[in-house]
Amino acid sequence: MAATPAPVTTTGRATTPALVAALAGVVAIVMSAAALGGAYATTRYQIRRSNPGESFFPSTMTFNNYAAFIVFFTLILASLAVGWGVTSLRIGNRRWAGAGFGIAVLTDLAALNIMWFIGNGWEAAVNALPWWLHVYALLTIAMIAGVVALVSVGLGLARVITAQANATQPHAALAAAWLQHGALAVWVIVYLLIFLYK
Amino acid sequence: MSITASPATSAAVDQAAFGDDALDALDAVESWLATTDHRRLGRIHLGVALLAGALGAVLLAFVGQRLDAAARGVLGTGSWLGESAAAGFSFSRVFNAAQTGLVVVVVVPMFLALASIVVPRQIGASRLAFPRVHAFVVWCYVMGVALFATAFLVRTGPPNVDIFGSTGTLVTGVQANKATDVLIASLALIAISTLLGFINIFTTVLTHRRAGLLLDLVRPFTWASFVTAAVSIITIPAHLSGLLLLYIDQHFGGTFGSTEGSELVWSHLVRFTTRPDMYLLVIPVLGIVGEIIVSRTGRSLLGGPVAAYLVGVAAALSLFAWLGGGTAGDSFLQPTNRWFTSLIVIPVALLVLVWLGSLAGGFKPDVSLLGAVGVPLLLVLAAVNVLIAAARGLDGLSQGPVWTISQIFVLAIGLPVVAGVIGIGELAPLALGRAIPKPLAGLAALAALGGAVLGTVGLAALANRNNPTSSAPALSALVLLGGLLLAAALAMTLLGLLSAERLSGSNDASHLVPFAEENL
Repeated sequence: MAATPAPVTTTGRATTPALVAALAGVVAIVMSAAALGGAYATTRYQIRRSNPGESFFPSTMTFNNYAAFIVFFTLILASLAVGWGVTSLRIGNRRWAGAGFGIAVLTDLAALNIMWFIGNGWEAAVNALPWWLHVYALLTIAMIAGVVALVSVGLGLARVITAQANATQPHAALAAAWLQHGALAVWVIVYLLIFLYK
Repeated sequence: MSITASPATSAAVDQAAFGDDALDALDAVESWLATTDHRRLGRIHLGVALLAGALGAVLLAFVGQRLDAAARGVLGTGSWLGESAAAGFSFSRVFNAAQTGLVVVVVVPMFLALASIVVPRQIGASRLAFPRVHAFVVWCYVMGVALFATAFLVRTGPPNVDIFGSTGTLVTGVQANKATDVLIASLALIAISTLLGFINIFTTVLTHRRAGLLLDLVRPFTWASFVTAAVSIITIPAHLSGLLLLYIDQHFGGTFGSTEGSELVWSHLVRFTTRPDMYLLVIPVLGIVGEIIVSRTGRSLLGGPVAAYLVGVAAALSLFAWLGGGTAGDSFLQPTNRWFTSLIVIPVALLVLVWLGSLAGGFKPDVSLLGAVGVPLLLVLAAVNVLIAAARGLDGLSQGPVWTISQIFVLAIGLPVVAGVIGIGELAPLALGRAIPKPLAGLAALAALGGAVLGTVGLAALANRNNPTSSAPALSALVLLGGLLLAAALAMTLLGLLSAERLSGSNDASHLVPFAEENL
């Protein structure tokens, strides 16, 4: 995440390595979740096709998606907060920008805590059903995306506080915001597959 | 050495304690370990890949030449891929190590290392976009290689994972051995390193080109590296997801190996020959050959940007690998391949015509042109192998595992090694600051090409024998010779790298130039 004036190419646009890399990172992490989602959907389809009477989803389990929705809601809050932070940075208000990034850090921590709580609450062995294997893998990738978002937004906050990110150099903060949105996109995939697509 | 009467500085104390030579050595080690210079890091990356490649090729040579004995049941437990005892350095364990190692640990990182050195210089940049990330990439790769070797050396039994095979080797319901955990971790580390490396290359090409250099005017190798990086950003994360799924499953005694549909998931996320990454091995090869032709003819490739478009189309078509039906037979490396996985042949064939057309206008003879001849020759060999298999109705899964190995050998190992060895020789002045001595580069190129051709011919002949269980010592010897020649080519290139490094090292002060920017 460059903090120095970016070089200018022939087209006259300011180049932003941090932003390009962040977008590539978002593509990569969403692709990871999508691949696991594809594996989940494929296995579900194949099991149902081969054994029409057998349920892919553990039928005896009562599944409460309250905590999962709270994660969803928390990550939306984080995305909004970081968006607010970037907008504030662009209009030159560093104090509000710091507040936005700070709130995003706290909400990311909360989201990760709830994900950990969800995983612990299941208390099921991976080899109990194929479903559990896929669900644990999806939750792991969501947590990885959450940690990436937390670290990048934390670094963004540090840059805002130290004035390395400012109205003329918002790229590092914008890159952190994209990674935050990436974490939300990953959770949307996980939430849809595990908690809604039964 | 005495300490003077003046107040002792820490440097003076160090000097007194260790002596000048020891301090110089420590400084040298520190400068290598702490460097963020893309050329130095690239040389470490390249050196480790070449060393691993030479060892892997020797292993493959000795194991590969026993394929005909294995086919007759002399080795293993009836099947040549059969794993008998839980421990010990069995045939399939060494074969798995050599094959996986050559492709994942050697070929892909070799191209990434070369790109990390050459691309910034070809676009007029002084560095990669993220120098520190690149340092992480290189050391992460070195750690991955060490773990990979460990997985095959520990005495807890062979790894249960073979990324060229099926889900048949996976354990179900019980925890896999430590070797499996270590192997998956090493593959993940190398994949993470490769992904971050390609993101760095992608970002560098997009944001650090010198003024006036449009994207469609970059050199062929830079363009091929950029295209490979772009597609890898999509494909490598999917593979990492597969490794995550596999790790959780095998570590906690999962169900993956026995689940309906697991073969489909395996083929799209884990098995190397049915993932786009297999096809992507060819893209940097196309860039290197284009680079050689441009250098030796002094002109752009025939048709201007057409060659670049063809490389882009080939890379895009590699994604069609995911459209396969989930069986190993759909793979491009099987005689039963699907039409859509074979579409990549069209742009590659057109590109070969562009190369020939470009050379027809005259060129300056050089040893590097062996690459321009050798790569099409190996592609033709692979095509002939396919035609023979089709004419004989060979089923790659039940009748022709050796045929599959011959195609893997020519397309996934021989072709990239030939292009890599010749490409390093060609790009050495840019990469190392000094050319590799011509006789050494020439010998390495000849050995690589000879090894690839002999090994392919030997393996293809073994696969196409009328009686697959008959003894064929002459063909086995051919495979052995081919593998050893490839190993020699990689070793000679490593030697050239070290010699150029030694000669240019005293004058190379690039690592002393600090980057002005605070940057990742």
